[in-house]
Amino acid sequence: MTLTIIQRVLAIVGLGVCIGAADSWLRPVRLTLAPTVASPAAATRADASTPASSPRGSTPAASTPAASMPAASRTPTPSDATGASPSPPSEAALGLMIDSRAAKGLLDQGVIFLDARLRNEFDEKRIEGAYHLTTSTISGPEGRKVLDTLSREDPVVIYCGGGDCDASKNLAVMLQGIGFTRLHIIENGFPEWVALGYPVESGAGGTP
Amino acid sequence: MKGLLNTILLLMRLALAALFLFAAWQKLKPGTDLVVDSGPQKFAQAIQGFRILPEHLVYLATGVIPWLEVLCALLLIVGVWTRAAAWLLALLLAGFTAAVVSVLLRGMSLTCGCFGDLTLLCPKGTMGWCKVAENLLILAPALLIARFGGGWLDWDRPARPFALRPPG
Repeated sequence: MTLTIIQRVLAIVGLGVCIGAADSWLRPVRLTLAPTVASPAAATRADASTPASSPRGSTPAASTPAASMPAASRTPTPSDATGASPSPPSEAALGLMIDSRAAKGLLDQGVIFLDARLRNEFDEKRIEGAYHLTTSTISGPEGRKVLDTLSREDPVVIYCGGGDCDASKNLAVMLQGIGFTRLHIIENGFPEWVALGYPVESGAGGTP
Repeated sequence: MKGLLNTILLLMRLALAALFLFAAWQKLKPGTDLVVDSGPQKFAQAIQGFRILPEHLVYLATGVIPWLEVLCALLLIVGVWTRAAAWLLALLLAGFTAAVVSVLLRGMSLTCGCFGDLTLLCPKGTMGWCKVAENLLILAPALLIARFGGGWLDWDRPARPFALRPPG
């Protein structure tokens, strides 16, 4: 029996689909982010500092699906850069996606920031004190160095270029896969941070 | 002359097979102790970044494409069903190229992740029109093999090189 080219192509595709399906079943991939989970200690602190009637204080961020979670607070304005906000929201009360104003509050609290953009973009300008970590470098020596300084229970803020940028979400999926639960992503990314005049730095660096 | 062409086809066939075996390995390799750092995970995220396929098709493409590359590469190496394998690789490359063009036309800034750390023509970093040219450059030998067969040591029948017209 002689098969035509088209039949042979279909046979190869069929075999590829069978093997691929088996491989996917054995080694599933993750594309969706789990919601951020507040640590019990942090949540207690948040409850103590937030009025009971506050919807954010009484409803843990973890109970909200990540996909439908809005940015943590109102849309920031340039006046936010002056630090006029009286009390930044507690980290435990924040969801997965946050805005730059909430992120600035976390920076002031000493939370670690991870820059998921390309190395040259990071060296050019980055959020003050941020470490460089991407899905490409996470298993390399640079990534190991950064991960070694972090506890899985630590809150971490991730950002990339905003807009179409998926790098921070992709990195967050990987970090959740190794046990990080208190992750926050700056929804509009670095451009919003810069537009608000929040602190940046430049030059080589990026590891502890 | 025919011998030279068969030699060129054989070399192109083996080079194409090596390239796609390498590309497939990048998409299939296991992660380090970070389980989430596996080739499939990175490949799935790369496909998702293109924002062309719905999520369930991203999962399907993640599982199937690397194995198609492996199968086609192996067929090219052993010289069986070479024209079919080359056609399939050409179709895959055409699809990849269309996806890259779509990303560029939409003004998106993405890294490809096609060949891992290997750089062929284009520098590492954000994709540009260079990636389209690179894909077309790889597409050319695939189409030649699909049209003329794999040259020496090609056991493909009836599609032997230059045997498309009946003798006489």
